[in-house]
Amino acid sequence: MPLPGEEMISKRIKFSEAERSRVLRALQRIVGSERATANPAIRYGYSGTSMVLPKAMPDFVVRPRNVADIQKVLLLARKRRIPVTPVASGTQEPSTYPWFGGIVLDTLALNRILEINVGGAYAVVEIGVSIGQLAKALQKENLRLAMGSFPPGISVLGNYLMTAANSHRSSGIMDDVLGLEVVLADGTVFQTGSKAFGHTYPALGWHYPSNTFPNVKNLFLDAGGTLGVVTKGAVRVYQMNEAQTLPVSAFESYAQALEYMKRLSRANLVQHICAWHWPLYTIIDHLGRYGRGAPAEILLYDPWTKPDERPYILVVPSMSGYREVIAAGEQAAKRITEELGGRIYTEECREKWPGAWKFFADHYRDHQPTNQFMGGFGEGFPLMPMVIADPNRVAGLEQWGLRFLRKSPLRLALSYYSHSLDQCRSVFLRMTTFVSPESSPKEIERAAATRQKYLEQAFRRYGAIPVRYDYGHPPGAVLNKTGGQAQVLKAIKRALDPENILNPGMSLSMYGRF
Amino acid sequence: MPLSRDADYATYLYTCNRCRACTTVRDRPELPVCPSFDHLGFFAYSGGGKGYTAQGVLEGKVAPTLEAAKVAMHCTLCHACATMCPPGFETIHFIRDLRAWLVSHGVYANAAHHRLLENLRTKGNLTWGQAPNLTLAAESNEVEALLFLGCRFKLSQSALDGVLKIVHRAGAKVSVLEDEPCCGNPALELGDPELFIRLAEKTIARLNAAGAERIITLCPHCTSTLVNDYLEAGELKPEVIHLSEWIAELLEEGRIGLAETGPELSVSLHDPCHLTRYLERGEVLRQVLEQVPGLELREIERSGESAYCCGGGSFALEVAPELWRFASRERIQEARATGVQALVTACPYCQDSLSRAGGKRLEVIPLADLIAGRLD
Repeated sequence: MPLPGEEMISKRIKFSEAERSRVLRALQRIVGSERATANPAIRYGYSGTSMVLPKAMPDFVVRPRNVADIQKVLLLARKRRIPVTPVASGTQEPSTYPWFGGIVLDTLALNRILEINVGGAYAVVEIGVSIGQLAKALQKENLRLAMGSFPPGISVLGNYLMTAANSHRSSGIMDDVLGLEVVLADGTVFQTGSKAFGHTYPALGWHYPSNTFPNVKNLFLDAGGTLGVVTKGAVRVYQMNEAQTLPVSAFESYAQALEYMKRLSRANLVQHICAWHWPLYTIIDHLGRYGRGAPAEILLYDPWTKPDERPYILVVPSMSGYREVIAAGEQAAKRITEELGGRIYTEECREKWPGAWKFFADHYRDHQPTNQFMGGFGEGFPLMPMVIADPNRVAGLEQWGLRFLRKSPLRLALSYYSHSLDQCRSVFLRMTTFVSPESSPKEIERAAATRQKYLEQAFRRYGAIPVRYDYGHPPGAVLNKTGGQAQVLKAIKRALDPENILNPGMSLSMYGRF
Repeated sequence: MPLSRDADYATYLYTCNRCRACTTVRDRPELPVCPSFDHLGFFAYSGGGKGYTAQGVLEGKVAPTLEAAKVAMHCTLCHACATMCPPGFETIHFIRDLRAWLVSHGVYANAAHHRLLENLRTKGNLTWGQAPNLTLAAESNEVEALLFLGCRFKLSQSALDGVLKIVHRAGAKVSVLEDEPCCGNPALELGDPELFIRLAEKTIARLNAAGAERIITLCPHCTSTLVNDYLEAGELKPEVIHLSEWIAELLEEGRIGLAETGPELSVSLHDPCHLTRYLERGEVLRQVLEQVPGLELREIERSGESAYCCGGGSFALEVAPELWRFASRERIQEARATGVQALVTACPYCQDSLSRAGGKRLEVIPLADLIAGRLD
């Protein structure tokens, strides 16, 4: 069985040396000679982060300075039918894997915070603005981003655009994007939501995501850059309230933790609530204490045999508001925890797991993400089965999933975290297994196949929608499962990008010569 | 020639999330710390990105060309990337390996790169200058320490005026090696690790034979080379400290004293990369400055382990002049924003780089000269 991605790479566009030179010169005329390159020593770094999947080197990398540059690059690419893969900052997501070669559009230089609208509680940022950059700027205004645990270096919009997988969100809101500015494949630039009226009335702000017409913005969420290149956007920001607290609860089963998350989020007691499986909070604790990756004896824990009396799962709700309300909320959290057979664990967490506590406090109380918790595990992305699950069946999925993935040849750090979405109408469950440098190619192939089987089964048996299912799989493999919706999206794609130049490795790009 | 640390690349690449932490001050993504990435912006110009380029070499996707050399040499080896990397990868190894691989294929970034290495190969030093004819040598069995000047201090006797004044005032019995050899750092940084080993072995033998129990290096590049890199070349018996550490010691022991009154002077401190990040001994500079009466220290926003490189590291002035110009101007601009009268540093490379960039806009003072001028 070939590794994901190989089939697409075999169909990549081939440039003669003369063509390559011509295209490079044309790109350099647009952005300047230092900002467009065909240098392999530079291009290799944009081949995708995965050590597991095959590398897909782009033919060119371009660093546009502004929206006008992006328009011109897209027009050039369209004329010559060259694939364009937009890359935001930091962690490369599957959507930015240039399977078919062509141009990688590195948008990192578009990194201005354009507005922090305190009265309207939103911020307008360019695509290259990072989470840490915005978090610091918001702190000065006593504001914060939605809850999240991503590292500070990655793009705010790059993260928020992936509503299915982003880790920044509020308890009741799935999507914190208010509006976007997008460049289409034909060079058209437009804004969505209330700002769309800015075309006629320039003073109009970004405050409202709709404009009484169908919400075009949503087409560009989870689209992975296949319908247009996002250049800026407005995101919701939240006020830092006078009281913030993280009452940690400990439970001995995921089912208990799930019920707890459901009760608290549906009563509007929490801004965010997340459950941490014991091997994962152990690893995070190690990172928090020592700033380095966890040792093998931790990574190789068998999730079925806890080594000591540590709780099976910790649930960390984030409460924020007026002091009186928060005090009452903490009381309620204690009562519900005990009713469900758990115990309040905040002080013990601080004492026994100070590294994990630091992680929770940095991200869910102080809202200043740090780099301390990055890296050090091993590679997980392509083998990490993430799902958005049905709350009625997710407890069964947790039990079955651990048993199933235990059989994977790569069960390094087998663990998970899970959080409530939309007041627990859905539940995010991210199980992790990691690849180590010692893993053989055969083991990696088997692990990739195991992941696909897990997702398939989770889909069929437990009603869990896979996130990033199509990672490295030929375009259309997943989209076709959506029936009539696939036809609608195909028609939209065909209308907006008839040459199919935008990120042709993604699901939506399912026709044309690639 | 294969790259020497392929196992490390795999470990690195399996855990690198491209979080960009290697390019910015710790938890301050709005503050660049990598001059190379700050200048050209492609991922390959970051410390993390060079790990990927090295992996591209291993996979045969990156060939030894001038283009590759421009990426590999466009870096001051300031160690900020390794310092900031959350899992703590020694990205410097990737960069040195890439350079060694290119040089082994006869590929150099420019003529200066080639010339510097040729001088080292044929003459054993960079031939910027000969050691000044110092007259402070005592009988070898009486010396308390050996001063290791380094190539930059060999340029002129006047560069040593401040150091010599401190030596004399302390009544210290120090010596220097006749025809002092190169520490080998330039060979390591310019891409010839085998030459480094040969130079280091010779220098270790000379330093051990000198009989001093202690070596005081004037240049932090030499200090970190003798302390860190000589571990791969042999056993250096004497203890190695940097001049600034010795000055701190002389002050503490009362062997030198500072005048109780002196002209009011506001300064910023430029932390040398080798002293602060490679050796993690940078705090000694502040300890010394805090003792100077009439001196006001105003910190630059990026300071200590977060200091932005002066641009002069890894011979960028010769090998990657555009990078040097960019970084040194950036640093001068940042120092001037503090409104100080002068900038103090303790590294001859930083001194040279920042003096050239600062010109008449900002005076750059060596730490030794500042202290020598304030002795009681």
